[in-house]
Amino acid sequence: MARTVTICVCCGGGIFTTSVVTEEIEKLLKSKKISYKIEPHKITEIPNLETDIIVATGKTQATNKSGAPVLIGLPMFTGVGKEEFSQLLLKTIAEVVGE
Amino acid sequence: MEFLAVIGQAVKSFIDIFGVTILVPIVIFILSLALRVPVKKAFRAAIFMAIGLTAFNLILNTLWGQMNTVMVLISNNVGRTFDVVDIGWPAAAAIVYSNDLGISYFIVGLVWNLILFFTKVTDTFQPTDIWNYYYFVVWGIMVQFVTGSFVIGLLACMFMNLIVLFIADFLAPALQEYYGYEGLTCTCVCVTNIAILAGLIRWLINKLHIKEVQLNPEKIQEKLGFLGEPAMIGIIMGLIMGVVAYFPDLTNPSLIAETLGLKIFPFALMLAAMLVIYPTVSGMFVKGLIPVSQSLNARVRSGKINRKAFNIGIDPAVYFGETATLTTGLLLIPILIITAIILPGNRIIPVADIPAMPFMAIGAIAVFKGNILNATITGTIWYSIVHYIATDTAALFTQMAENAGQALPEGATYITSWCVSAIPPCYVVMKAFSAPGALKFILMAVCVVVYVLALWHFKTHRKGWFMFFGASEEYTDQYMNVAAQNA
Repeated sequence: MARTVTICVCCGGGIFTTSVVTEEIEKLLKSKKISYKIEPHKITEIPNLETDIIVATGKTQATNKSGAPVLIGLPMFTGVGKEEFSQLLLKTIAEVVGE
Repeated sequence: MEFLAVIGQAVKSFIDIFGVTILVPIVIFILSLALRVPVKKAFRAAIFMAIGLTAFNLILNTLWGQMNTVMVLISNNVGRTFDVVDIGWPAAAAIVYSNDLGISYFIVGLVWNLILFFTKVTDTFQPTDIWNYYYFVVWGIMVQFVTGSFVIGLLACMFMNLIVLFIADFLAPALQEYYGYEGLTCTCVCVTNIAILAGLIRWLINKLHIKEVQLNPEKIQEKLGFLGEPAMIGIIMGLIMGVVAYFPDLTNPSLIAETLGLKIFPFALMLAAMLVIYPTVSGMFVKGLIPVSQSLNARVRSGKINRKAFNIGIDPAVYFGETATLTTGLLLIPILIITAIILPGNRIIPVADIPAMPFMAIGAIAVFKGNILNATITGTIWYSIVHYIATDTAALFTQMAENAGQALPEGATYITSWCVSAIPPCYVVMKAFSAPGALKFILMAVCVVVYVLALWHFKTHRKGWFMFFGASEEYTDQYMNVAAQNA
């Protein structure tokens, strides 16, 4: 059993889009039986977050100082390209959590 | 008209008997069910809404109580009145969700949006952004307060909604081209209305052949990035305000330790704590509205709607993280605090809404295609005017908050939300709709005529409008081609 993956979901205010995207990611991870921890944050906090994966709801050039990958999770909000994003997220989780 | 007044009266009586904390969840529950949200989800949403209102009232009491003391002391020490406390946009949301008109507008607004969308008055599908209704609805409630009429207040809301959609329509290509989100536009009017001034300034720059200067966003972000974190803003603003407020005590050696330890630091920490907690509390309101928004989102995208060229209204949070937007917001923070202090007659200093500043750059950044200097200059002008709007409407806003059942401490200060004040078009409409006597009906007619003329001009000169507001010719052609194919 792989370890728990920590995900930070970030948007402008840490509210609206974050809540929607978080809900969608939870649905996905539950269905795949992946053990996770998920937290809401603001985009301005991205550089200093200590986490495995960061999902920003909108486009951003921000990078994480500890090297956590930053994914753009807008598809989870609008529903367009949701399948592709889900695959990308699962692949990234597999890479991070590893064996 | 009669019918609307009856609804308003019914809602009001219900609020008087049972209180808002019961009515709001019931409305949300019924609305969610009507839009075919599953019962369990609808129930959860309704409960979160009520929790949000309760939590907000708790926070507001603490925040205003403390701010009240400090703002009075600051005014005394600097010899100028700063008696308007910026308690942030959640305050406006709480007022709207506690008011008969505000609650009714969830339903009236939804129906109004659908009518406007299907009659093609607008190309924007707004109900997905139902959460941001309150930005203009709060202005309609001001009209209701001044005129004492639910119906006039409601008409004001509906008219302001037209303006919101109008801006969303003409700004859509510029937003899509710059930010790269096809099929989306922004219906959160407090961040888009600055485009009006940005468009004018851009036109002027082109006419006078002024050379555009590009600033380096990386350097600015590196230096000012900390201003984007609510905790840091809280501490810094708290310390500065605390020092100014308790300055006389700090000059007395025997009082320094006590003043710092028992007054200034606790105040700064309280302010930081509030700014950190705020998003969580507002998140509760949001949880209440997400099922409605998502249900409509899914349906409008299902392809069953026989119309391909339309845009979906989305929360501005998706635009926030873009580099030029974030940088302009960070630059505007110190600038607008300074203009608030310098400008004579202004009585507000932005505090709780400071973390939202990058949002306020979105409309200008889209028009200027990411030119930070131009957007910052536009923001400085437009939002300095906002200081005066906030000052002017503060007494009304405070009265509304009190009426909304928020137990406010006795004090010599007023409250408002700086961000919500940052909508000059709504201010103008509010003034027109709440003018004294029969004058208001004349001004209302003027508003409608101006709107109809502007809309007619837009519909007949769409390309010009899109390009005036920053879209390139190629993109505009492409955008209009898609529309033409589906016509």
